Amino acid sequence: MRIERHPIIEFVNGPMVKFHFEGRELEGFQGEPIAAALHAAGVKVLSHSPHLGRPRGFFCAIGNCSSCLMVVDGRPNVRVCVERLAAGMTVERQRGRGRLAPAAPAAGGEARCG
Amino acid sequence: MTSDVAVVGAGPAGLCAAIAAAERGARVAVFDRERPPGGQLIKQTHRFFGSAREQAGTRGIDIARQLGARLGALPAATLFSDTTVLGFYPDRVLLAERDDEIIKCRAERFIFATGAAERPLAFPGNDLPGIYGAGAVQTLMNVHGVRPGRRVLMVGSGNIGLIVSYQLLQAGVAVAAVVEALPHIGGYLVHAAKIRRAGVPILTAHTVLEAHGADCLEAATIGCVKDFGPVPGTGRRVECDVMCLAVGLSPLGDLMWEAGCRMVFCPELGGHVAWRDADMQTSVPGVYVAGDAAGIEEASSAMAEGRLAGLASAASLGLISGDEYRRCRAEVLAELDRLRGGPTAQKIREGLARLSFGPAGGGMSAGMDAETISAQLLETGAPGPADVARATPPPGRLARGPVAVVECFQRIPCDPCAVACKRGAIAPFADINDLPRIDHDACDGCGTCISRCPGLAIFVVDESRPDAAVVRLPCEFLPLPRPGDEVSALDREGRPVATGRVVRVQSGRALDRTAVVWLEVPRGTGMVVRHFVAGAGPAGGLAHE
Repeated sequence: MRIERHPIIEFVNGPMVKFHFEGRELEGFQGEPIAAALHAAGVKVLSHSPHLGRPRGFFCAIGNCSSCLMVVDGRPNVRVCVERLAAGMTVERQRGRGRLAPAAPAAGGEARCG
Repeated sequence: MTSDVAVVGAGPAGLCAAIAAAERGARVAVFDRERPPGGQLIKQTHRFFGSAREQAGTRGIDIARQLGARLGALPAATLFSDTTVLGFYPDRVLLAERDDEIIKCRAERFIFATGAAERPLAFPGNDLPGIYGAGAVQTLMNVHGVRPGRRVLMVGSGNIGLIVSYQLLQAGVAVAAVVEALPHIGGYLVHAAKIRRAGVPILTAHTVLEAHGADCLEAATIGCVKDFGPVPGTGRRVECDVMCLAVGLSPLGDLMWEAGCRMVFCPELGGHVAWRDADMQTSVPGVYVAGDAAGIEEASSAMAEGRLAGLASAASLGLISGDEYRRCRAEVLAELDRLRGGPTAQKIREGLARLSFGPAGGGMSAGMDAETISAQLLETGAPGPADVARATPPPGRLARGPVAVVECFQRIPCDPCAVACKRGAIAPFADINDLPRIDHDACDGCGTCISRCPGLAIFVVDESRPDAAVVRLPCEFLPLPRPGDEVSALDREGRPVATGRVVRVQSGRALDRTAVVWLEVPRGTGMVVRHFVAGAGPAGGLAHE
């Protein structure tokens, strides 16, 4: 699904890194949005809707619409269309609204809600 | 932190605002949630329309780089990338977040250039993965280099729908069709002609009725529209794994609402926009707007509005003298008037009138050029016989040797062709919305204009040889053919009409990625052939369904 040659654009990518998705090991370019790496690997379903469990993909790809919320390294409600991929990340499909892990005492200062 | 001017958004409007203010000595902080700067410009592979004196003829991606470099060279300006503005407070403080840290910025003046968001469309199954905003697909494809899928149904024929369809073809993705609920094409007709000759149908008075698929989009049902409703019994199935929604944009006005700006509902400008005066200042003193956030328009207008807001904020801080500001302002307003003067900007003029200050100048021709553009062109995007007849050089001239054929039928603000012609065969424009006027006898068929036309609407035709005609076609697709290759020559509707032989390919640096392919075709087809593909015919379209 990657574009190898383009008539107008030259793509400059970071190094290829490995990450984990639902028990699989996938590859993507470091620094690209997680959603782009997933899409390049053929993954379009990013989460399931809270009430009916309908499959959800991204819609706006610029962080506006929250259609792409996933669980990244245990953190729910991450907009993967704008969250950048890093080596070794664990990315999971989100079901429902997501649940925050209990606040670690050392984390301090971070806003907690929901 | 403190600054003189805080700019929210580093798209075309925000960058131009920041540059204008910082050049006048204001300390400027620019906040943008993306990286690199440029907003939607970084996704635009096509050359921009507008005035060659400004940035017409330059591709959006290159304008983004140029503006980013200009801002970066100004010591008075600081760009905060990957930084999301969260709120505006009445004591003139902006709150922003970067890397989970809060930035507080107190400023004298604020320029909100926050852009717009894509609208969704309601139909059964519209939440299936594979159904994306057209801009989202542009981001995925042109920023991150990932194809959205194999076969796309485009919904909406405004400029975004047409441009993204073309960009999908450039990325090697088939486009099944463009559907448009209105009875005529919404965007620039030169954009429509580019995808039509590549074999993509544009179905006006059609819309999407339903999306099908288990986990992801697999197909869609489209149908005819009459009086804003579907026509029963007209549904047909289109196989597609991606659907792009290009059904309009809404200005992102959150900060303006929060600041207490007086908001006006202007459907012609995309929804609620902040009222502002002729200096782009809102009803809240010291708060300015520019670009799509101030009303949906083209990027060229956004840049001009940004410049105006930047100048106005600097002037209000005493950094520009009153006389100097009035002179600069008159220049920018005149440019905006020109950009908004043509028939395609009718809606924008109506929206601005609702804000009670429309363009001051002339050139206010109304309507859709209905007198001169054929119904076929308006409804299908492919020039019809009457349009082609107007563009055709006299028979004697065609037989005498190569000559430029300008297939530009709609009055849009664009003039690079006249500047490109070194022989003066294309007359200088009195108004930027003029149609090009070419003196075929003065034209020597040099072909410089082919790759300079942002609409890729100029061709060179040579019917002087007894054995074959030669057409020169602009080409922005890979792989480029090689001399000697046999290709399928297509007409303006993407139908194979002959076998063509490539005789020459120009692709030098001066052509800036618009190659010119010289194609030998049967005698008499020089005014018919407008595109080509390797193999038998185009990959997109609905023909096999």
